[in-house]
Amino acid sequence: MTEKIVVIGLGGIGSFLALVLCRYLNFTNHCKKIVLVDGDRYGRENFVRQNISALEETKNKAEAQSVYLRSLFNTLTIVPVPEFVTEKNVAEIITDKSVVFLAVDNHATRKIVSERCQRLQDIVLISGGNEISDGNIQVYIKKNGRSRNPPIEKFHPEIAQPKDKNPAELSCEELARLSGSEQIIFTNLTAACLMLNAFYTIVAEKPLRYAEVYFDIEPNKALPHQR
Amino acid sequence: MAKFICGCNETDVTTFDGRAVSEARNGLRQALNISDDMKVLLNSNEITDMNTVIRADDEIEWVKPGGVKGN
Repeated sequence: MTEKIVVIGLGGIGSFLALVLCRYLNFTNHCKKIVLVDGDRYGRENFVRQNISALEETKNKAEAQSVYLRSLFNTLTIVPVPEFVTEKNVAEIITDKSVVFLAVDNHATRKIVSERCQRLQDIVLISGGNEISDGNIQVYIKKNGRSRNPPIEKFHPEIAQPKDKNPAELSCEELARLSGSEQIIFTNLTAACLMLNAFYTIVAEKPLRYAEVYFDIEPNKALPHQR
Repeated sequence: MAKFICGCNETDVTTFDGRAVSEARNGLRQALNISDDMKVLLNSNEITDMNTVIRADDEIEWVKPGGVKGN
């Protein structure tokens, strides 16, 4: 039984994912506790592709989304954590019997979250990332202490040895440059949909026949991979 | 015939049956968008020897790096 669902990153992927996820959870008998995690703030450059009102400019993403989603879905307990995930706080944020959606923009955080999930007994991690028109999602499941598939960095050296930095280590100027990096709303939305498709298959207790899905919105292709 | 995959691109061809993985990589580099630093999986197991010979029923995947953005 899932005790809480954690969404890390409330930007291009996470802001759409959280909205649809909360609508689904509000009207089903699955988990009712959602934790939204993001240390970043909404800026004007985000409004072209992130699901939030322009009135929320300068507000913390996790806090702004919590207020917005609580106004729509009154059966859920939505808890904001206005921090970036780091080695120091990861154990508090991610605990056993959680489902974790990872929608960040750096591999350093993916590595921290993946390593935390591997130390737990019962966990589902669904991670997504994109470039301009393409991207991938990855699923890691551990049940009763046994990993069902390899961790997300197993065949991905860019996650195992990340060259980027955790946003908690970046200056305000470096963070501002990250927010302006080019992305397309439709690519973010595709990643969010594929992550939610994986979630549905898992909570519906249907066999998940892949651990990774690559996609590209230009040819409109998605290809699942077993690992 | 062997199956070759990279990201969401895949192709089935007989051209490389009996030939080395490195030859397939060079032949399919453009079509599948393969780069030299990608890990290679042969029937889901990682291989490092690019001289490994491809058999007709093999599946070879070059593992494309994951997307970094999303926030």
